[in-house]
Amino acid sequence: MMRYLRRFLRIYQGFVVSGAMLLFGAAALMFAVLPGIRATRDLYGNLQDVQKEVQALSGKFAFLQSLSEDDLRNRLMTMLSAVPAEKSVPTIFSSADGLALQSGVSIVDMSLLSPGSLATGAAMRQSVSEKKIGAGTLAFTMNATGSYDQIRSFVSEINNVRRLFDVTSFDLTIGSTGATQVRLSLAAFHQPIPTKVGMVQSPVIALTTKEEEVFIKVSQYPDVSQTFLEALAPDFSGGKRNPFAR
Amino acid sequence: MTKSSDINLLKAKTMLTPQMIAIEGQLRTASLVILLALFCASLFFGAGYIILSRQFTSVSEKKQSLMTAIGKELQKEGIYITLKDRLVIIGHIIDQQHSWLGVLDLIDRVTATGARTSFAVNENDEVNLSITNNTLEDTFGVVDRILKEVSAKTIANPILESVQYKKDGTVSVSLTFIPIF
Repeated sequence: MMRYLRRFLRIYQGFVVSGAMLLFGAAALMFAVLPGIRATRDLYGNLQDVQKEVQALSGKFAFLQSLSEDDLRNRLMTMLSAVPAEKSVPTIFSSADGLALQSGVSIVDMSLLSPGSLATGAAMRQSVSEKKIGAGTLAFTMNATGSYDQIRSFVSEINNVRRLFDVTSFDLTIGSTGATQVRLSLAAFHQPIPTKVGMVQSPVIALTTKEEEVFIKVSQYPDVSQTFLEALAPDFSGGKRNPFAR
Repeated sequence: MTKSSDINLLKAKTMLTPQMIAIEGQLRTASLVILLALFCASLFFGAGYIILSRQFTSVSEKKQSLMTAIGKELQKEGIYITLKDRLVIIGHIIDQQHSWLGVLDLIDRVTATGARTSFAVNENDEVNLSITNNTLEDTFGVVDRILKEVSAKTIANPILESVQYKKDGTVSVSLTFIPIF
């Protein structure tokens, strides 16, 4: 047997060596080269992904660097005076009162319709219109009297003050003496401040033209509430991504 | 005459045919080429892997440092996102608000000299207007003006709800319409 094997090897030595080399090559291809190529390709793919992330993060960082925290805080305070974080019933009354004073009308009565929780009411289910706006509403009614021109000024200006109101309906009656009475159904808005800002990788989108216009418009509205909002005191000490944690 | 070198029985017995020798040669060349190619490929991809791996480490470190830097700007990011969120909400509120001054002007135009009694705007923005005029002609004037406003597309769906001609000659008109904002 050994003799035949030896003879075979002697005759086909060249084939055996080449065959062994080919087998070795095939094994190397299967178990080393192909996995290596796959690993390199995966690494390249991962590198591309990380490079994209780095690019996005660089953009975000540069954008954040370009913002002034004080300016942002002031802008936010202005917007919070238009739509506060909580129901802020006193600012509803004081804004209506300030506007009445400005227009010269007398407020006869004001009543809040189901004010509910005095805080944000965040647990309350939002109505369809609230979902559409993205904020909670607090409905209230108001009776006011004055001359027609005073009432006219009052009604026309009610949409142009901080905090923001929306007139849902109104009844206006002009008496024989010219004294005018108006009954307004209004909605005031509130929306809690978000407590989380998302992932670090989440992109930050610059303010759109419309948002800039909204800011300019609202910042020009007079603040007739004569009250001061509680200053925001973001205090973040790491751990959670909650910039407003107290 | 046979040469002495030809008298090799062993060689004669182990000799391959010329075709087989050619195949053997080609096979040897092919296997060497394949091994060389595999070696080159291994070198190429190995070097590539090392380079990419270094780049990956460097980019990952950069990413980490950027994430740390962004983490330090968390308050600013939070305030910015809150501001943007609020601007979107305020934008929706402003879009929903109507210019009531326009409606009051419209009612003034329609009633003109007529004595306004009352008007109401309901939640569907429908205006219910009650006017008391001193003469029937004034009432026709109101209707004319409403039709003009309809032509100007400032009023939609005007409906005359009631007309009362009283003994003292005054005419009370009740009508509804929808102002076009």
